[in-house]
Amino acid sequence: MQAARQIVEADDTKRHLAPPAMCYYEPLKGSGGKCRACLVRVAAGSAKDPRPMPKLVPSCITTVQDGMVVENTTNENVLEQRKGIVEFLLLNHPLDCPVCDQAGECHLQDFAFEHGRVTTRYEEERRTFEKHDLGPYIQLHMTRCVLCYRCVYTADQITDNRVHGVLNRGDHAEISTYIEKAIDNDFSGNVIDVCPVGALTDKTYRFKNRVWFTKPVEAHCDCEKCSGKVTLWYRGEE
Amino acid sequence: MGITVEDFIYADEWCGGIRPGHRLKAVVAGGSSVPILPAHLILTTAAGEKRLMTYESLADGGFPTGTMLGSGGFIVMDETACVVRNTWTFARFYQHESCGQCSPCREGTGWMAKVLERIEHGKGNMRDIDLLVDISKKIEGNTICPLGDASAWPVASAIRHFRDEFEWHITHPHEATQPGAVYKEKWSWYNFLNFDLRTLRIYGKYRTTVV
Repeated sequence: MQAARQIVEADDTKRHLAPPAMCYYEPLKGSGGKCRACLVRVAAGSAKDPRPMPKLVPSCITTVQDGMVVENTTNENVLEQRKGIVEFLLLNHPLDCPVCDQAGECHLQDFAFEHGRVTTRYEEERRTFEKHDLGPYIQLHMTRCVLCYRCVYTADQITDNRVHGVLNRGDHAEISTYIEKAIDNDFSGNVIDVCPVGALTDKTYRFKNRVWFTKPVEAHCDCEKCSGKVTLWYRGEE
Repeated sequence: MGITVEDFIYADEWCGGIRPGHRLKAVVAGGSSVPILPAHLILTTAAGEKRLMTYESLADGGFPTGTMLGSGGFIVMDETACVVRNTWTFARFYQHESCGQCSPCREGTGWMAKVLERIEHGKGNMRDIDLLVDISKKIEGNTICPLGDASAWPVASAIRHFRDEFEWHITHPHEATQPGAVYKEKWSWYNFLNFDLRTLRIYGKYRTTVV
């Protein structure tokens, strides 16, 4: 029996028709449904029950049914609502892409480029935070965070005990460690990788490189702990 | 349940009516999350029937001219209450209550509260009114839970029914920021013909037959 798939994964044509996803990360259980970037209209629920769904549904947590008709970019309302989502996500975002290490591999940047409007209508002061050092490798730049909870799920599911999480609620929610504790374990790098924006960055990488200067190379790792499949990112001819 | 809204507000065995010398202005019929209605729409439906305290009757007319019974809270405002200030209070409440999981509600509630605060303090702009309507449309229906909808409806309905009051706050910033300053409705035949004699209490106890 085939496992249940979500709409966002159902793009078999590989034509990049899949809705944008920020908070959804396939390997993480329970992720998705938070950012609402992937809202789509379901024009027909399934072959058995072809009624349309009354509201826009997040495609990352809606299971595919046989005969389902999904309107992604063909529906005016979906595109209009996505513009709104981009605007909401960018409300408190510093837009410091020129100095951000995530630029080039940032989901928010891609999403805003594809679906956003050019200007903002927000005139008030933006929410800001101090930069925090989380242990020896990670720097937290909370101002850039879109609260996708992906780093929280990662720490929950692949490390033994999670020491960071989301504090407070509403628009003053923030990612933080419990009483300035450091994230220091073998898998701390994953937390940086799953961050869709530049909120969690690698201290050894900060301001030293750009993602578009590097190219990926398939490689093999001989250690006993892992499967051996690794991807090295080379810069120039080094 | 089942009595008319007019009875519920004015009859002595229920709420006892508006303060003497004052006039009913607006009613939020169920908790703070339902659309606010002006006096003429809460007492009678758009079709001209008396509104009853039932789910169906209060919802009559849908969102354009109706509201919902909601959670059972019943907020009645006379003409000394400022709708803009009241809407700002609701928006601040929902900003505080938002859990912060999904982005439309997390960012949108705070944004609406900030824009309303600006209008209330006389720093508003005419395009802020349409901005508020647009934000509420972008929140409504796009969130995980109905708190997003609940934060959008009072703002959207306040602008739908009391747009001239918002505009007065923007065009008369100095008067609007005076303590206790409230928008006075323009003289209209409607208010003249529907002058509320009950508020003068010259007829003694107000009684109607309970349906």
